[in-house]
Formats: sequence, structure tokens, C-alpha cells
Amino acid sequence: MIEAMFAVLMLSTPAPNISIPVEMGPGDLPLGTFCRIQDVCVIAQTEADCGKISGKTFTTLDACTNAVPAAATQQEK
Amino acid sequence: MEALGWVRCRLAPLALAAVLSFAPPAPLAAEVANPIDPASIYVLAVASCLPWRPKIKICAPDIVKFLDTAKEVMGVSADHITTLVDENATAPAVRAAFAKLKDSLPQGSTLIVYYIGHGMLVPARSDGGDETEEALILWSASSPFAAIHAVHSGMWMTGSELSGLINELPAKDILVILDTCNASGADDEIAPKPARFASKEIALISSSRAHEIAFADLTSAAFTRNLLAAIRSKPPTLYEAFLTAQKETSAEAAIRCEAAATSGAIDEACTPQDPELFDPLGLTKRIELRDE
Repeated sequence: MIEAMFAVLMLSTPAPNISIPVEMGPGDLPLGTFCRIQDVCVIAQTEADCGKISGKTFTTLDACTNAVPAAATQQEK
Repeated sequence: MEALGWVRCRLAPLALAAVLSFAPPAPLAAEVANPIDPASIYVLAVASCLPWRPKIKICAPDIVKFLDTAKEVMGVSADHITTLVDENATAPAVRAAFAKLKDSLPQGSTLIVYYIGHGMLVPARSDGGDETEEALILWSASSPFAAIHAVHSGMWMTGSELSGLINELPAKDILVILDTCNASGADDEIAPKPARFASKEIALISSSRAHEIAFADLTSAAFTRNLLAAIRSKPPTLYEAFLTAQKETSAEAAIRCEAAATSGAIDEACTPQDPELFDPLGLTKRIELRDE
């Protein structure tokens, strides 16, 4: 009888807080990349997106020094 | 175990009497050198739990716990506290809070900046040497479409921007506590090594190394929970409390790893979390812990 009570008590012990961890980061948010389109610097989600000009324009060129050139056809837009 | 406790209880007074009869009287507690006056401590507490990362809702409750502990154990006055939580913790709001502190902090005061929320390593914009630096993911109603856009548009705050804001303050001693992923990614910006030659004493307590995940459970961030428990155990200074929290947090990560390995569960849960302290001038050893 005592053993049975002990077993029940053990089972009813609440799990420690660490049992359901969640991380304090941005999840699946992409880092993004800079694209250079002539004299305009654009931020896109991926290098592939540079050719689509799906990013938003950014007004200074400092961050665009090593940017991926956007597709030539898109530069005319 | 009880028997051992009995032996300790019975023998301890005898041993103490023997020691006292031969040794000169010693102070009961170790004295803290050049302790910081609690009346000079100010706190800026920022908590950013994002509506687009709804799993984590610990920011508001953890801020309350942190501030209660700061008031009760560190002796911080309630009217020395500025709090920005969730929708009030936007980057412009944090910049405005620093601007207000710049005008209102007394010369020579001590500021503790506590941030709890999300963080991410982004390409460094300064020439600090590292290729990446930590960015604090401050509150926004919706997710930015890319991290570097959030940084360059001012939606998030990098470690180098935070460092610039800190260095403009009239405070002499500044302690930054970051409970977020990759927290040590801000070390070079906030607590650079030449700090010992600067006019300010700046220290950084980080909940995790760069490239490490900081974990939370459903009630609290792991490091904050351990740090506050350690502070409330009232070791002499914040330094000893940090060492305890560091050990406990790393141990929890190891337990998570073992549990994940046993159950074959998600790999994400099996990553280390190692809090670090960057305190070249020993600021944390001057913050005493005691009842108000």
C-alpha cells in the first residue's frame, strides 16, 4: 500500500519548467541580402530575389559595397 | 541524511567555540570594496515579446519579477525605474528613453539596462573586428521581411547603436543585462576590452554566447529565472549571483540535451546555453545584494 502511494506521488510530481523550451530568436525570419541596382541599393530576402526587385529601397550605398548586382534587365526599371 | 544533519548541528557549535578561542574576531560577512550606493542606481527595463513570435509570452511577467528583485534585494528606488514592455518597447521608444535618461540621470550615477526578448546576429556595420553583431529585435506589430532591413530601417537596435546611446549618458557605471539569443554577440560593442581606459565602467551580462540559443519555458526565460533566484539567495554581490545563474543555466541546457537525446526529439532543444560575464573592472562585484 505504501509503495502504491509512493508511485502515485511520483507520477503526480509536476514536470520541471525546462520541459517545454522555446527559443528567444527570430524564428524563420530570413537575414536578407543587399542588391545593387545601378545607383540604388535594395534589400531583398534572398540573392535570387535581387533580380526581382522585391525588396525595399535603401537610400545610402555604404551597405551595398559588396552587394549582389541585380539582373541587367531589372536595372532598367 | 538526517543523521548527518544532526551531527553537523551538534558539532558545529563546539567547532565554532574552538575556533573563536584561538582566532581573532573576524567580520561576519565579507566586505565589498567600494560598493555602489543603491540610491544612485537607475534601471531601464525593456521587454520585447513579438506578436509574430507568439510562443513566448514571458516578457511582461519577467520584467515584473526582475524589477521586484531589483527593488527588494538591490535597493533600487521605484522612481528610478523606466519600463518599456511589448508594444511600448519599439526601437523609437527605446531611443526616446535613452534621450530622457541623458537629460535626467545624475552625474556619476549607475544605470542597469535589462533587456529580455529576441535577438539575432546580423552583419556588423562597424569596424569592430567581428563580422557579426547582436541586434535586439524590438517590438513591431508585424514581422519585417528581412533582418537587415529591420536593422537598416531602425526597427531593431544593434549592439553598436546601444553602445553609442550608453556612452552619451552621464552615468559613470553601466551594467547591461541581455537575456536573448546570441547575447554575447554584443560584447565587443558594449563592453570593449579598452574599457578600462574609458571614463565609464561598463559591464555586460549575457544569457548566452554568440551563436547560442537562449531558452525560455512557458513562465520565464531560463537565465532570468536562474539569475533572480540566485540574487534572492543573497550572496554578497551580483558577481556571485551571476556565477550561480551561469552554472544553473548551463546545467539546464545539458538536461534538455539529455532529454532530447533520449526521446529523439527536436534537435533545437539540444544546444548549449552558456551565460557569460564581461566585466573588466569588476562592476558586478560592487553591486551588493541585501534586503531593502
